[in-house]
Amino acid sequence: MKGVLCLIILLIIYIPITYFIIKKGKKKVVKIILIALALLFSPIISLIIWFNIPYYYLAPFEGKVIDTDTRQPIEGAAVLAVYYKTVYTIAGSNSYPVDAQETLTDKNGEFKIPEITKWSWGQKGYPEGHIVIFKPGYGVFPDHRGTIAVGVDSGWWPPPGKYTVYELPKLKTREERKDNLIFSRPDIPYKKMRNFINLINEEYSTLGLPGISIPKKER
Amino acid sequence: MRKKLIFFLVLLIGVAAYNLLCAYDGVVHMKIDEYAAKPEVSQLDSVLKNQLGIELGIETKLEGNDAEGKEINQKIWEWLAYGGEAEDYGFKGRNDYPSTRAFNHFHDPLKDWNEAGFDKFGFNQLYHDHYGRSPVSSLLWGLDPDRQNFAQNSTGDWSWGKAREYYYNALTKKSDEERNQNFADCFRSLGQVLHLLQDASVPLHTRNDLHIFPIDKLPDWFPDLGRLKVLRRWTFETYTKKNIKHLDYTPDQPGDRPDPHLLEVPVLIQDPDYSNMVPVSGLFDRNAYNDPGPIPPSNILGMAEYSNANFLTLDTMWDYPHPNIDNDTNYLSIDWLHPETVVAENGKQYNRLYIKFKEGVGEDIAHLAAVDY
Repeated sequence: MKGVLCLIILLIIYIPITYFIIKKGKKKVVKIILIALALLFSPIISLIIWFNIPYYYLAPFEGKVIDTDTRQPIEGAAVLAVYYKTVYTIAGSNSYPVDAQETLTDKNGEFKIPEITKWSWGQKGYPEGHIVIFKPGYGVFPDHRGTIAVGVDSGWWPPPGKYTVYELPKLKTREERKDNLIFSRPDIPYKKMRNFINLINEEYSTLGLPGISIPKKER
Repeated sequence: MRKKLIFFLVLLIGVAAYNLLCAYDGVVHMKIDEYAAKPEVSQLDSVLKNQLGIELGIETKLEGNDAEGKEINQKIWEWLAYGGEAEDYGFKGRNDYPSTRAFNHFHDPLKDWNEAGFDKFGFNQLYHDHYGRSPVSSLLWGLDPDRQNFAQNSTGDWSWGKAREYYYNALTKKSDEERNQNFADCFRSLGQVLHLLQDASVPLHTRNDLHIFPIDKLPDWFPDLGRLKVLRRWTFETYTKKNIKHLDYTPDQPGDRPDPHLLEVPVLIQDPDYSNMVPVSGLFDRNAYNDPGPIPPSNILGMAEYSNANFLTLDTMWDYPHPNIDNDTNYLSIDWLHPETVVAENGKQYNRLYIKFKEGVGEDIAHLAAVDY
């Protein structure tokens, strides 16, 4: 879809330019040089268009969450799919969360987050989806070192669309549980991750620590 | 106005088509700062609790303003992580393309500190035209007072000196509100200085390498145009972003933590212009590695010296005194008939020949460079 749009916009840019050159150009040599230059720059123009079309795709995720030791399904874990866009700046690339979808695991520990395609004006970049899974008392995926996405190369994020089993280790001490909460929450509106934040605040409350503040207007 | 327009036009073209350098992605900077705050690796939590009487330590929440002026209420470790990301922000905060702070994220340890900053392709002139000054070395940007304090720098001064000032204010101001805001700004500043130190571990930042960025999200239909295939290549940045979960953040191996001596004697050969530099400068550059001279042991080097002397970048291959292909590596004694079999990211096996340091020279790196033919 995005490729087709890119091609259409490219043609809209180049057809009038080509017409203008042919119609107004006086010398054949000048015409050839200008057309050659236009063609030479087309990959750059394509890239600019590609990265600026405000249309994106939020990938689906599905799978099952289980306890690493008991192999039993974990019910009620918050599964948050966060979609990042990567913006290429002078400072290298920077990835920012632009959207999210969440769900809770069912009694079988299973979850499904549907795919979505949407227009989004004013947001550039190419969102890629990552999964974060949290259940009070368990290591958070992917930050806790003991968590595993079965069948996924340990260095990679689980691929969208593939049914994946996630193993979360039960945390044994208070210190482990405190340490487990040190990971930055994605900067997206609270309403997009209500269950996720509520479970984190539940854990903070169990540990007797202040929870995450939710801005009044987002409550 | 016209100059300004040209400046941003050039930046925009640069941003749209390729990138200038490969630092860590913002999310990786945040992650490193989060780990740096964890009680298991840092004394920050215990200092806050035991020396300042802040009962909840790094879990204490502080209300402050973010880069866009929005009020946020987050924990101390979150402010630190926020600083890690914010050092790359543009004029309007995150998601702003012309992030010119990064011009000041280079430090070449083999040069005088006044000359050690970014220096390529006339970009310095563009920066100068806009800001009325040249970009400076990351060491000076972070640690030399007032380097960030000039009118045109609308992204603010988030240096070490400023962090100390905020810290002082946080301890002495009368109202809770003022103290909290100053504490928040103090930890954000600290996070931004940490960002600079993290960048000093990236050889591209210490070998003055302006590098075409791998646009790893290029659409599949985009044609491979001969040498432009490099646009798709992986770099250290791509690697760290993809492997963010599995990077080794924990300083649990011998040599992982900097030797305290680096802070006790921060500079071995004093740069006369910077005799009053704060001791943390020793974590960046101690002037212990010089040209001419061998690669010194890692434990006496600042981060920028270590990454400059022990690693290569694609566009500075063998350009610097070290690594030197003839004197430092096994290149002249490679067993060409017996390549190593490796499994690449695509899962396929390849036979590759690798160059590594000679025994006793530099860091023990099995794959310093791959032989191409």
